[in-house]
Amino acid sequence: MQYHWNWGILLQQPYLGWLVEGLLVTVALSLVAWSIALPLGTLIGVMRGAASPVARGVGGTYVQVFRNIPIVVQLFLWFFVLPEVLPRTAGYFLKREMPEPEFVTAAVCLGFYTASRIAVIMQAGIVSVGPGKANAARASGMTLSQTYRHVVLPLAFRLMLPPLVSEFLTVFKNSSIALTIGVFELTMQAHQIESYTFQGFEAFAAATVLYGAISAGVLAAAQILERRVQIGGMIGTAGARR
Amino acid sequence: MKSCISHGSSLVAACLIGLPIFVNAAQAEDLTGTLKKIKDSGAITLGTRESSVPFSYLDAQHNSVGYSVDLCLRVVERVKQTLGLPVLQVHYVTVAPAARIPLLTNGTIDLECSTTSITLARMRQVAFSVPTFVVGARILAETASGVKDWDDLRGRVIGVAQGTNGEKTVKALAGTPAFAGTRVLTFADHGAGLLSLQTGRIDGYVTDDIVLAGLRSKARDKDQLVVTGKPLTFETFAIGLRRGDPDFQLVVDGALADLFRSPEIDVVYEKWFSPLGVPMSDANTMMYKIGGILP
Repeated sequence: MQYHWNWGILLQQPYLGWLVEGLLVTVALSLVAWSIALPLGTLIGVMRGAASPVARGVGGTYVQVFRNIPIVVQLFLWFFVLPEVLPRTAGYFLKREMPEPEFVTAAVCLGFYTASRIAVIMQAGIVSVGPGKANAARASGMTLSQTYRHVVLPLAFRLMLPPLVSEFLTVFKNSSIALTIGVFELTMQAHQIESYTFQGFEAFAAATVLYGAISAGVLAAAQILERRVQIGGMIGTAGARR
Repeated sequence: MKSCISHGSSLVAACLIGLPIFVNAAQAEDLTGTLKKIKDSGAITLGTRESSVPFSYLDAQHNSVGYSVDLCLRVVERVKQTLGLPVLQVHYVTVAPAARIPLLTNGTIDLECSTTSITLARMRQVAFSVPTFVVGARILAETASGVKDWDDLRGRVIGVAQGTNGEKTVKALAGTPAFAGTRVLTFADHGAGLLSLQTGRIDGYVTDDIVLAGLRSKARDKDQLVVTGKPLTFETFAIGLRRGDPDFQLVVDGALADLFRSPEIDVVYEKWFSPLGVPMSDANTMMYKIGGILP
């Protein structure tokens, strides 16, 4: 293979600055998407297990739609199609007046997609908590929403912490789809470095290392979190280190 | 030969017998580089594009067609003749702009047949054939928007394709003080850029003028679109090949030079550019004359 390696290019400006900027945008995009996905996904997950058939129907439809359409297609629909089907002023706002339209669209798309996956996880968590504690809470006078807020959901989150951490890591990787609509996140910056310097292998190696570093950081934080929120006797002791 | 003549007729006879042996040795010398690869594998791989009309794009049946593809196929014919192969398989690989150089250097494709401009930075990684087309960077805009030249795009939103020279030029322009507040949006391909222009997300889409003419001709609302603005930069397209391969370079340039010298190039040009209504520019006419290097 005839390729001229030049690892030093990654430490030169402006390329180093681009990588840092890309890293920051990736982290920001993922965190914003997660902050949409977690509350929305929990709500949909609760709805899927609700007594009312309307709530169950809405929750079920949401998950089917957002889980089955490929995420790149979803992004295309949010970015190109939604502004056209809305009334003209709303569409114009989405296309022009909103600050950072590409970032916001990508964050919302990623958030709604991840919410569908979190909904399934949370529904499983609520089922694992079991009816016993919820019934006891209702019997002692708590309303349905109080039961969820103070008894069921805290336990469900603790039970489902490993799959939720997994989903959180996935959000960081999925954030790279934003490059198709021109968001300058990490993978896009690697493409930029490649197009300016033609040192593509070095650029993508740097992006890979940075994604790996994000994952390592998140996993380390997750381990600490898991230990801190454990309730003795409630969750299996495998992996517990007191 | 001089020594043969001066040393008597018997030596002349010996030299004349010896001459064909030298000639045959030259013809039988080992093939290197891409020619060797093609001869060994019996196949050549062309790197093409998805939607760079009319240079390199996929038609309705998903075949790679276009002006650059036709030129590459002429080169393939010449390669076939040079290597004396009865059959030469042609494989096509569609590549994205950002991948064309790596795929060429790592051997996945042997010729890069699209809209790649010759730049010095690229010449550090790959080699180029003689220029195949001359273009300028212009703007595609809606006639209703009133965008006629670069100054009209100040403070507005400009779209470009990722990984192209146009992207760098426009970003440099947007960085100048006169263009403060101008946003530049990048797209993965020309199709997305055209869609953004038609939906009003961008005020102008910038790339090579001939690619814009191609995009416009295939657009549904072509009467509302116009290619406008003085060319910001001039570039020449060429076929890309691997660096340090002089024998293959000679075959490629030889095939192109013969084509440019013959009247066949007018037929090829007409085939791809008359549907767009783009007559041959003076620059291109001159380029074909200059490029028709004598054998």
